Amino acid sequence: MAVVMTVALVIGSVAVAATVADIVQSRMGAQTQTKVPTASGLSSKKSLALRAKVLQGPLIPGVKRPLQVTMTNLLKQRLKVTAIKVTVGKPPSSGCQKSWITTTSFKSSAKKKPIMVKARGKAKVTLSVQLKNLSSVNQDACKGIRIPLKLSATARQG
Amino acid sequence: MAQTPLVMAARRVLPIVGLTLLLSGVGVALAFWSTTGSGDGAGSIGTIDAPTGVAVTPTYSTVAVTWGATTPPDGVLNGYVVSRSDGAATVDACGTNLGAPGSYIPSGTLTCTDTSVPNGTYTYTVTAVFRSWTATSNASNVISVSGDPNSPSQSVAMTAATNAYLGGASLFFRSVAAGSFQLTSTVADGESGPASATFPAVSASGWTHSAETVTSGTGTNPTTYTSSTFSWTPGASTPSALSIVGRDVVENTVTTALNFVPDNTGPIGGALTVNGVAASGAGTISTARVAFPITARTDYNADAGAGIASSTLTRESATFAGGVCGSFGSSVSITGNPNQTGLTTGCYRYTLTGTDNLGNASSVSTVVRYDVTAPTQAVTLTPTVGASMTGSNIYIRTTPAGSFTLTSAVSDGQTGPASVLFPAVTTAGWTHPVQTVTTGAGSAPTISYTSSTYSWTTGAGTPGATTLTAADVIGNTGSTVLTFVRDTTVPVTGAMTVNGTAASAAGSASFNRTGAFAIARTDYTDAGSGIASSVLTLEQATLTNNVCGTYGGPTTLAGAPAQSGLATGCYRYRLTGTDKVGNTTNRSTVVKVDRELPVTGALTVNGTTANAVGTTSFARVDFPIDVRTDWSDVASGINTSTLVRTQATLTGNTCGTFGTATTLTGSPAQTALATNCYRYVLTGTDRAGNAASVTTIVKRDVTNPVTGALTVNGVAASAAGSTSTSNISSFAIARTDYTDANSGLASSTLTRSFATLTGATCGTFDVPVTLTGAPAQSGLVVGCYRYTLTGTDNAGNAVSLSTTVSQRLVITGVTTVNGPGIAGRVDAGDRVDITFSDALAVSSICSTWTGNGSNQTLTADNDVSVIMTNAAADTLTFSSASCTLNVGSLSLASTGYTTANVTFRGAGAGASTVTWNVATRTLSITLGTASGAGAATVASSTPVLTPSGGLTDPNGVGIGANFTLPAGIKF
Repeated sequence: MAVVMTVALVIGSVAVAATVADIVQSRMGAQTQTKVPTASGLSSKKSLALRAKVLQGPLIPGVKRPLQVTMTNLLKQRLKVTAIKVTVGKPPSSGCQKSWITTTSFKSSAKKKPIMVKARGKAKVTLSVQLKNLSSVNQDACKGIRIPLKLSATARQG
Repeated sequence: MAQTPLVMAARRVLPIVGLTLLLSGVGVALAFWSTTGSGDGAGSIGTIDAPTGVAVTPTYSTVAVTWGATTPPDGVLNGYVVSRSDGAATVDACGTNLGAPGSYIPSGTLTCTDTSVPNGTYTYTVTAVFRSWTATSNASNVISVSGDPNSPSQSVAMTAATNAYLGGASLFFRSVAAGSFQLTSTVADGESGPASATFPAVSASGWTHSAETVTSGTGTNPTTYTSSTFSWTPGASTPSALSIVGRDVVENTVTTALNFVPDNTGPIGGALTVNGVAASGAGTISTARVAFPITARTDYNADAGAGIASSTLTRESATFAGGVCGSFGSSVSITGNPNQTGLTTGCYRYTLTGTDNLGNASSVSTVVRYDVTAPTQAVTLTPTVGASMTGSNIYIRTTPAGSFTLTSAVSDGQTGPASVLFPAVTTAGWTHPVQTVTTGAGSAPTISYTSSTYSWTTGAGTPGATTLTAADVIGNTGSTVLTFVRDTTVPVTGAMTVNGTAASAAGSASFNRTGAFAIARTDYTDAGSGIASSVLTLEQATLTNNVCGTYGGPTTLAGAPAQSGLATGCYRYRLTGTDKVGNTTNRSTVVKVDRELPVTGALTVNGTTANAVGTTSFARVDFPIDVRTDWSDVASGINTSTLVRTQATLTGNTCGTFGTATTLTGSPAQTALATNCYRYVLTGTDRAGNAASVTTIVKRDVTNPVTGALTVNGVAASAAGSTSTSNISSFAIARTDYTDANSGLASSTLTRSFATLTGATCGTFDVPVTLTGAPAQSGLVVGCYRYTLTGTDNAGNAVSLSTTVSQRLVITGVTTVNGPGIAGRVDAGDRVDITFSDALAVSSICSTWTGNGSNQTLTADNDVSVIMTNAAADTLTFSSASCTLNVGSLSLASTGYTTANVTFRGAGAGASTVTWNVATRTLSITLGTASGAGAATVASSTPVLTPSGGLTDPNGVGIGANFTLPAGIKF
């Protein structure tokens, strides 16, 4: 079984390296192509798209908000998502530090099952995001801006 | 198993995957695959609104600020901070500071007041604070602050003053002493408000104070500012005027000037007269023994400096003793000039004191020594011959005549004693005139005055009361009344118990054998003149046969000491009471101490002498009381001397518990006593209780030992004696020793004695020897052996069992000796040796032999024949042609020795022979030439020699049992 997983990871890595220019941007987020085995060999193909949305209002100092992540399976096969990671991008205001923004991630384990996404289907998971309240630092630079978030996920055959 | 298209595809692309694996360096499996995904998102960050509508309104130097509220995006605001800007700089306002959350204006408050604003033109902003976010309002309207053109007011006062006083604009101080003070400036300003007070330096010689501006004070408006301490040292010079400046916020000022004035002089005009004596600055003194007035009082009424503060009259008190006043204590104030009544004896100091506002004081004083205490007397009587004094009573014994003097010790702690008046005694038979004694012994406060002699004749009457009067120097007097009392009664209630016996007027007695005893003592009392003495004395004498000798001199005993360690003797204790006028009485008791035991007591029973520890003897028959000598005592004398016998069981030589006693009179013979222990105790007791005794125990046992048993040679021994015969060379002994349940077994002994055996008759037994245990008997010579087992108990009872064994002649060994022939075959030259336990009668071997002490032979040609008979057990028989030969037959225990009868007989060297060796008790038969064939060889056999019944020892004792040779090759 371990050998099988290793092969799958290799295939995934090759896919990202080969198709990074082919990432299709959309208003909802990005879709990543991956290469999966076909009858004629390796073929680039859209596999899993992610998008995130902050719920319950804008971020304010010291308040943790839900971050809803939607996963779209572009394949005809069921996927099991084993990990989701959220990365904070560079804020558009120079005085606002991206380290002031904290997020949570997802990783399956013995106690936490992977997230199953049906073929051609969608699934959602809720993480969290927060602007830290720093008592000795003025954080006015962060007021009213949008903070970019990047998401990445790992999945395996369902 | 069906394969998915993905797996199949993976197999087709193995070359590419292999390249990938080569890059990654990992293994390959093609069952599953995985993928990754990615995406973007964004989070919007909120904001807060700034306060709105900031408006400001100035009043002189105070500005009122208002604004509109900010709604926070979550929870509540941290608060507001306010700033003021003059266009060039922005400063915090309304006491707020962004860096100090505690200074924030609460979110629910939308106004503040900015005070003490300097003149100028300003705008204000308000900043809302929400966690780490702030939002600042737009600037307010522009205002101009230009109020307060007026100076503040100032009030200067003094505090914490020592030797200083502020009177108006004059600052008085005592330059001769050190001092200090602080000044307070209370500044009021209705416009910009108080700001500070300045206190200048004082640089005059001896002074200490630096210039200072105090900006922090108590209160808001007015505000009181307090200076640091102004101080000076004694002799300091006078500083120049002092100007204290008060300021408001906008630097308007007000100045107050103070002038230093030195003042070291007290008030004037005071005067005082008490008990008619004028007071003075140095003080005056007067004396009184009745109430006295404050004659005149004029209070102090003027002061040249800081002004009069008070004029007071005080009175202090002190002890008055020996004409000297003690230390004066706390004072009381006197209002006006009242008469001094109700005072007790003592010294009183009156002081009129005037004090100014600086503490400078003036005073005058006078002391009144006040004595209203009468002198006291302590009267004593000397000497006490026939008279004594107790309290105020003079006890007298008017017979015989007597005399005394009285001494009055007069004490007066104030002015001192002066005299004593002794009245006259005019009763019949008495002599004493009236007298006033002014000269005495000692010095104030106590002087003793002694009267002339009071005397009386025998049978004089009893005088009535007499009063002694003492006087002190100032005239106070004191009296003492004395009463004459006749006393002819002896002391009473004296009692004493010694050694448990009460003493009596006639004298009592008791015995004691320890030399230690207690004394209980109740001393005499006297209701009249009183007890003078209650004395316990001890006298000592010898004690012989209960009679006391002559007593020695008395020794006084203090208290009631426990008596101990007293030697044998008589001790007389006497308690004597004597009152103060000489009446006397006593009671006594004698203790006869005897610490010696009775002596000379002696007792011998059953031949054994008793002693203090106790002796023991055994008796199996009746026994006597050999000696009885009763006890005697040389001190208190013998009381009793008694012989008592008690008995107890006797078991295993141990006495049980001795029971009822029987007193024996004289020395009766002890007869018909059963088996038991008998204890004889001769006890002597003297009158003091000393007891001595000697003891002896007789263990009486009339029963023999039992259960002894003896079996020898298989026959039981008996009291009468049994017998048995031993035909072999050994036999056994079985032995059970005796026991004894009463006095106990002394011995159980087995002995053996020997006697000669002649035929079947035993001779006289010799001295027995003791056998230890039950040894096997062997190697015994022919004779009689008597075995006796004797049991003897500790009381001497003895019993025996015996048995006698007759030991017959026995063969102790038979050997066959191979000659020159073949071993294992009976042939010529072979020999048979037979050894006996004892010497044989030679004629019982060969009828012609004589001389039992000599060796014997049969060697003649063809005389001796040895025939080997062929049988189931081949047999050798022996015969002689010259005599009757008694050897017996030797069964060879095998049929293999011969197949036919063979005779061994011949001549010369071939002759069969018989020899008898006396020393070795051996009979030897040597085989001669064989005639006849058939002898054969046998590897091993066990021949048996059956001796001839004719064989005897020299005493005719016959031969015993057959003898079997050990297995082996023979001949």
